Amino acid sequence: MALDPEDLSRDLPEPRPPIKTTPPAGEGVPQPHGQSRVTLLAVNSYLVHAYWDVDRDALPAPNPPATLRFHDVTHGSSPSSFDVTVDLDARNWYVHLWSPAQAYYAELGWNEGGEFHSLAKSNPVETPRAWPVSEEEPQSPRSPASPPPAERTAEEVAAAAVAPPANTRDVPESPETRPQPEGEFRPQPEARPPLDAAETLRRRLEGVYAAHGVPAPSVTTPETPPPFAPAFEAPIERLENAAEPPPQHRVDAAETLRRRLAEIRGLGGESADHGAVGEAEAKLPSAHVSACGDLTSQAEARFSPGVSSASHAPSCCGERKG
Amino acid sequence: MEGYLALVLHAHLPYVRHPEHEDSLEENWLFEAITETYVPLFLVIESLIEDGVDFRLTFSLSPTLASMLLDPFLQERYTRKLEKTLELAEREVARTATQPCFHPVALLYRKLLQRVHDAFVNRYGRNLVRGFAQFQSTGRVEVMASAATHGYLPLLSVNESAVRAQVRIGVEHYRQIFGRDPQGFWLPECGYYPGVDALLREQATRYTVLETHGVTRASSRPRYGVYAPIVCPSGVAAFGRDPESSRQVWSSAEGYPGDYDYREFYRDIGYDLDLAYIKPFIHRDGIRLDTGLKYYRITGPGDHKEPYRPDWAEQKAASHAQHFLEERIRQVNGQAASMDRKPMIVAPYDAELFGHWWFEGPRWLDYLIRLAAEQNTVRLATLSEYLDEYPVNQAAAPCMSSWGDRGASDVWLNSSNDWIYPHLHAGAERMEYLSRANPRLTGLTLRAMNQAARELLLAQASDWAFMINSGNMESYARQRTTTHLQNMSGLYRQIENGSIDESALRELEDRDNLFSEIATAAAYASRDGAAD
Repeated sequence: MALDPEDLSRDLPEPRPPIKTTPPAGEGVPQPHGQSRVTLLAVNSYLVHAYWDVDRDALPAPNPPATLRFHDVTHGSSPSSFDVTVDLDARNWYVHLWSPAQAYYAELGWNEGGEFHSLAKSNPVETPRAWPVSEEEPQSPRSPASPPPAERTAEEVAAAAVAPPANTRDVPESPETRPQPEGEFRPQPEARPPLDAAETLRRRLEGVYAAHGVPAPSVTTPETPPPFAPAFEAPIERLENAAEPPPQHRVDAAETLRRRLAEIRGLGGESADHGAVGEAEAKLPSAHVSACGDLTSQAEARFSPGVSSASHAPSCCGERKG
Repeated sequence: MEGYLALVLHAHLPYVRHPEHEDSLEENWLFEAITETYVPLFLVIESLIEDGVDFRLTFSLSPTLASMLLDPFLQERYTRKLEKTLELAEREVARTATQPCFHPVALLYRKLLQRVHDAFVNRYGRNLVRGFAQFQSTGRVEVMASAATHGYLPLLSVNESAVRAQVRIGVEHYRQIFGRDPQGFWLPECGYYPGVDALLREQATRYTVLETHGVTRASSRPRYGVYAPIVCPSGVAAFGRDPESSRQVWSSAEGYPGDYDYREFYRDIGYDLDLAYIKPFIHRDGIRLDTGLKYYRITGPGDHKEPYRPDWAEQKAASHAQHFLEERIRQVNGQAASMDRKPMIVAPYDAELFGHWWFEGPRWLDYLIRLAAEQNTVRLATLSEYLDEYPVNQAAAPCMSSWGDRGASDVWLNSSNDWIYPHLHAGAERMEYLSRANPRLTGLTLRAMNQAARELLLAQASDWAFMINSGNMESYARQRTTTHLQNMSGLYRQIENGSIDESALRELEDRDNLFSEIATAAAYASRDGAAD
């Protein structure tokens, strides 16, 4: 049974509860006329949603055309405003904006005789950036390295996370302040168990095939991975200062991996040369993250209109999860 | 050792518990996810631990899902459902005995279901939260907390009290079920807005995960893109999702799950077989449902489907795992020289993708983790381990962002679902008012206030706005939203009038019974108010 939202509205006893915390007029956010309220919500970088309740008694008769006056209060820019004529009975409106990363509040009211009469003033809202900021501002605060005790106040917690001097890039922690990790994790190769992955995988594959009475197929040798492409181009000064990596070691890691898979695939049996792993690999573009870390084009490609799921589920499985 | 990979599986379902119905379609969401995702993932983790594989895996477990997994009523219903499906699998083994194309698949399902039943009933005592706790105690798995009912926090932020309650109750629930503080907090839908990090910090949370542009469009340009976290003004670390590894799994065009050899989700015998045969295993009213037994592979873009070949799919899972790891190695190799720390690749996915939608997902994960253990370039790590190793990170305020379509709030706020928000905001103001006006209540009024808070929390779930937007299960989502809001509104009036209907209250407490041991109303009080 679907209920009409209007039913719900009728069921709600009054537009707002008797909020004791609402600042009286003249203190904090003014409440111009009784129960009239307007609320702003940022939808995206270029779209803001407004909804309102209006005390009709506060309006002159006949009702004048209603106006949403947007005040641009973006930090660092000159205050400005613009008006949007709205249908008061619609009770909500979508306002398209020219620029991202702006801060606004709005007043709902009407214009009369060259003067704006305000019924209600909204909460402030910020629209998100649509691209990265232009420059890196180097700071290196210490992120919380271990969960503070529950009894510590938020202020103490925040104090514990206070940044070192802003212009220091890599502030070492003193032994006194550096907390010890709780787990046993240490990225040391020798800590690895001497597991033969190829053997494990072979055993698993054989088990699967044996369980289902099907022969173990072979798979075409994996293609050579695409040419090496740095996915993140670091600032020039970093590249110049960086120590040269041991390339042979890196090649070995990938080579070892390929060899192990090739071993696993050498189990014999019928050919499975019907698939498109190689094609799929070829289709995968190598990622490039610019030095600024901008991923705009990739993100927007991913958020293609065809993918309606909020979770980006693939088309084969994207229509069910809520 | 040159870089890290954090696999993060976000496990969440909305609260779908319907004792008022003998046969609830929505409860099947939970049952399917247990059979096809949660237990199969547990089987993978068990085998990795048994084989001594060194690995790290991160889960976020939403409080609504955890509450359902802990609920005896749902545990009982699920067990009956599983045993019924096992019965169907037995029949299918017999029915397909002379069909060589389908018989191996029927055998596969029977074996999988037997293993799921054995694990669920015998090893976990029907309580999968116990499994999460056990895995976490090994140090190989880290479980993140999340918001109480998966509220989409940017659109609740008009009332800070509403966001604070979502965060506070979510963390309190985590502490109750795991007996420890969470290290990380999963923001529902990766929904970040400037300031929410301070509320996470109030609950002693160390880190969260954001959509890529939440980090790359931060107030300062992130020196390493999303290969290292940034530190929010509150001190909470924010890790950005790696777009490349996400695309390889999620993308409808390029992602692994769409491979033609993988199992086709939309050809289920619940729809394919004669009604007379399948009727005992679908809805009692004869409504055809997914049974979980599906015999075809994706095959191609059209409607023509060929029989599923488990051996081919197994090989593909191994190949795709290798490809995924090689790509991560390539990424790490490309970064390591240009960074003053090891790069971290953060790869978050919906847990329910694995096994439920992508049947071979758990196999892919198993191969990936075993292969990762056999090389030294990319090591699996948790995000808290990374912060242990690199406590000093770049300061920057992240940008408002989500992982929804278009990367902001469009999915959860548009002309289809915008009617929800005035009511959610008014409800939060009412709860704030009630909790401040009545700080020391006990007895019936306190019960009513706590239930009013539960009803509001349930109405705030991002799932409803999502479903209304998608048009899928829209009427159910509208009903859930309006019913919870009306319940909350009714309780508010009763509390204000001093005339509480106890029997009606008890009925609500029994039906919407999550967070029964948490002082939910007090969570709407100010920052210094008691949460419990």
